[in-house]
Amino acid sequence: MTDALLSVRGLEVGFQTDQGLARVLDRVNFEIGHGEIVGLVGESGCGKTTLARAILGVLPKNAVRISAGEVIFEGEDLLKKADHLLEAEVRGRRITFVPQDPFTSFNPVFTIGAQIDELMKYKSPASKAGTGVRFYGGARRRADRAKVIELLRTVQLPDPVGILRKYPHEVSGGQRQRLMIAMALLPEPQLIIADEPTTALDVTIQAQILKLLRRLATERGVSVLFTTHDLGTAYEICDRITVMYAGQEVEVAPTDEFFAAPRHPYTKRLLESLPSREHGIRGIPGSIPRVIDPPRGCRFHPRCDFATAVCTETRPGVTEIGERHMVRCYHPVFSEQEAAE
Amino acid sequence: MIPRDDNALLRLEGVSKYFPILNAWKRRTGWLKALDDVTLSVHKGEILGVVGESGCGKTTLGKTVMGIHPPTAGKIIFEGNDIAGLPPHAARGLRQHLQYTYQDPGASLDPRWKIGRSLHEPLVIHTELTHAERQQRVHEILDAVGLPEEHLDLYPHEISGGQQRRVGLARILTLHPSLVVLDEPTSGLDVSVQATILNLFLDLKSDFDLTYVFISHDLSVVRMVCDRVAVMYLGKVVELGGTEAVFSNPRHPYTRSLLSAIPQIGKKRITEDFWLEGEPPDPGNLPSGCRFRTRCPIATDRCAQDVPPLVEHQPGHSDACLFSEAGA
Amino acid sequence: METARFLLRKLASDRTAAVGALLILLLIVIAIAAPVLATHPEDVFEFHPSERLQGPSAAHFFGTDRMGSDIYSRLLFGARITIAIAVIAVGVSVLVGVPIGLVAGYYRNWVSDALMRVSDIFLAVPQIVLAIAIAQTLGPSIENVILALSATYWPFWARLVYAESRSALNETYVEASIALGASPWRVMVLHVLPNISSAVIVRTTIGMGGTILTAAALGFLGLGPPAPSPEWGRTIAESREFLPEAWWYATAPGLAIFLVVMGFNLLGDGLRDILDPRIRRSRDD
Repeated sequence: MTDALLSVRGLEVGFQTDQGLARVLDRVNFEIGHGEIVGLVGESGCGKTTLARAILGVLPKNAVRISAGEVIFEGEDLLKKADHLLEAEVRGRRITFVPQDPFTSFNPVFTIGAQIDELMKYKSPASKAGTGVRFYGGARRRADRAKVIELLRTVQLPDPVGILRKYPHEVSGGQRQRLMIAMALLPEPQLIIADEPTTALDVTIQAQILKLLRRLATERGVSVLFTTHDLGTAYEICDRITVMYAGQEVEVAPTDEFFAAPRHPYTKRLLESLPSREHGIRGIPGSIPRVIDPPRGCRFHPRCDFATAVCTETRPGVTEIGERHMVRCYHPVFSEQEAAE
Repeated sequence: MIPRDDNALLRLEGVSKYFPILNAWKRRTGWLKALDDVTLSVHKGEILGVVGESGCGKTTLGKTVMGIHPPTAGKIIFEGNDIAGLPPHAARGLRQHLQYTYQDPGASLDPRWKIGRSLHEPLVIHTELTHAERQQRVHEILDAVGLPEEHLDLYPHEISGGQQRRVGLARILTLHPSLVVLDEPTSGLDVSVQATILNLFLDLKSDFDLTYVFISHDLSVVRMVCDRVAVMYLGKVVELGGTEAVFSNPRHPYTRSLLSAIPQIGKKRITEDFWLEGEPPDPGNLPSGCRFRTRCPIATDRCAQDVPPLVEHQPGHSDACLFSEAGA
Repeated sequence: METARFLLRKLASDRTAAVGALLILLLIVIAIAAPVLATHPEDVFEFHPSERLQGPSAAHFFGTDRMGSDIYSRLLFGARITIAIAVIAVGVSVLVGVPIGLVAGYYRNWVSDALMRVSDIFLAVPQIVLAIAIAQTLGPSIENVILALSATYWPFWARLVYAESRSALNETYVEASIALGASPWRVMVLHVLPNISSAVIVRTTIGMGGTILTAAALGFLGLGPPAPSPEWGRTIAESREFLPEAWWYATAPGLAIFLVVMGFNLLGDGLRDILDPRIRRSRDD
């Protein structure tokens, strides 16, 4: 996709630990188009959170080693950009973030209104990127405040004016996530990175938040990178899904096709392990490899039924299955192959 | 009314647990009714699921049954004895066969104790067995849960999360319990690992002739594994019945909204027409009558007057809604 | 025991703690070997008026005092008194304060309130004033110093253990033990106490330093062991009228007190870094 909003190419990220270099991302490719909601799905240790953080540029500097790759956002490689410029122009402005844990995302000693004001002071579209704001003037402040109230209403928070006076511990988890979504939308970003935003929420609140997020993103043409380990939520909200395993992306497909016709053996097994009456209780034997000394080639090969010698040597390249459906496997699974077993 | 079930292994009758709400001067300003007049039975050999969202009281239910919280009212009858209000060490003999597993299995093990010592502890507390006899029981259980003997000399932080879970299970199995309360047993697990743990639970159930109370917020897992399910909302049981019956034909409006919130892959997206609005009311300040009426699409004035009782409208399937008979 | 070996290894790598440990070790060695190390051991009791107030020399490393006794030797024997006071006073405080703290921490009723109020009362009594009162009624001596110190010091441990055990009781593994039917004794002594021990150890080490300082102050005020005891605080008191000419008279004991208290504080700081929470996370290196 040449006109992608964000394009990650060949990103290789490691963390220096006491036991050696943890190869958390293995030359990962990833793309988000304009106005698209893309799901990044995977189990623990797959690297989805690291990928999200790498895009934002917030990986711990003393431990991380980015050995290869680029993160092209609107034509610019974010990995090569100076951190203070990233901070001023990109983070919290063109790319915003909705975190997973609604309970620790706010500073507990300031009111919500104060924290949103702080955000608007530095990151509102009316302010120039990178300018040190010394005077937050009356007219701009009033305009910003009106925008804030309007957006809080849009995220269906009851009594927007009242909630600005409250402290974070006085509002519920679901309300806090709505606030985070509002704060992510206020700077009018091009991309929102939502890192497991509904994992900590009850299922009925989750349904409300997913509905809201999808509607707002679509209405405003904002792209969303939505990471999750829950395939059900990915099905609900995403246009396209990328699945990762142990630091490698293995399959990318439009949502319906992803679930109806998965091609990668891991994707298939993963979908089969969802509790369902057809499959009973099925898991994937074996365990997720350690990233300190990962398997060579395709990292799923120790647990894969179709693995052959080539799988253990070199990582498979990209095979295009259909339009926008790509898989990285030497033996993608097709239904004829299943019938043949 | 719910028929008396004298064959129940565990029976809760009118169990309530209220926590005082204290203001800054430690004066009680109200009650948080975490459990309110809960009546249900657990039959021998079944897996009873208890589901609900945060604040519904399912965790408090587990802990009250275990005696960690003394109930404010009601009876808890286990193996024929009323154990309500007796703290675990006082009622040691009566409670020996009633055990509990934790959501975070690593946290439930003392980090300074070797695993072997943690496994011996229940036997030291409850029995008069010698060290050698205890060691033998521990070895038997290690086999049953699939843990290697070397683990006895390790500390909890030296083994993986999955193995910690097995240790937690092993620890309670040494006492040969008859009823085990499982608190969020699959929470936080990857989907592919979940199956292994669930299969382990089922194997242990048949090997040791166990009965489970399965507390979980994950409805798809509950549907797979449980025979009956109790749906809780703000401290009360709003629906109770066979799993398939409740899931395919929910009678209480809350159950219906809960089930319709679960994403179903391949089917219509819930985000398109999910209807439940707002949030649960403040638990310290509950609405009169039916607690769900503030969010219920079919609520009327009657709903504000009396608390609807749990009524068995169909054999084995009860619900607490005044209008459930009227149909969906 | 493997914990001891682990501790020693960590101590060696943390320089401040190592210095502190060495100072304390030196103190202990000196106290034990005083008769051997002293050049004039008999000077603890004997005096030689003809040699009074001589400056430091080869014969008398730290000079002589107003009675002509060798200050260096008296200092070494004074170390024994210092250690005795510190160890016994702190030991008694720990033995009294920790169990009280555990009981108060476990129960959430009038028992716990009563115990904490009692410890508050004792905390409100200033040590020096109590020591004076005891010295007046019972006469000045080592035992009375220890009594005064213990009586006012135990609440520190009671409060510490109370606070730590209250938070430890919220830990899941403690709850699990209770659910298994463990008696309060088992819960507090076998589960809670080992897990709060690092806080207690650190407090005890630092407490030693404070005790020594206070004991020296009491000695200085004349409330401690009477003449001719070589107690360090008393020695400083004796030196007052001869300052500033006989500078060595006050400097030697003053320096000794300083080094000992410093040693305990450094060791305590180092132990705090070593024991909390690293020991929980990486028992294997």
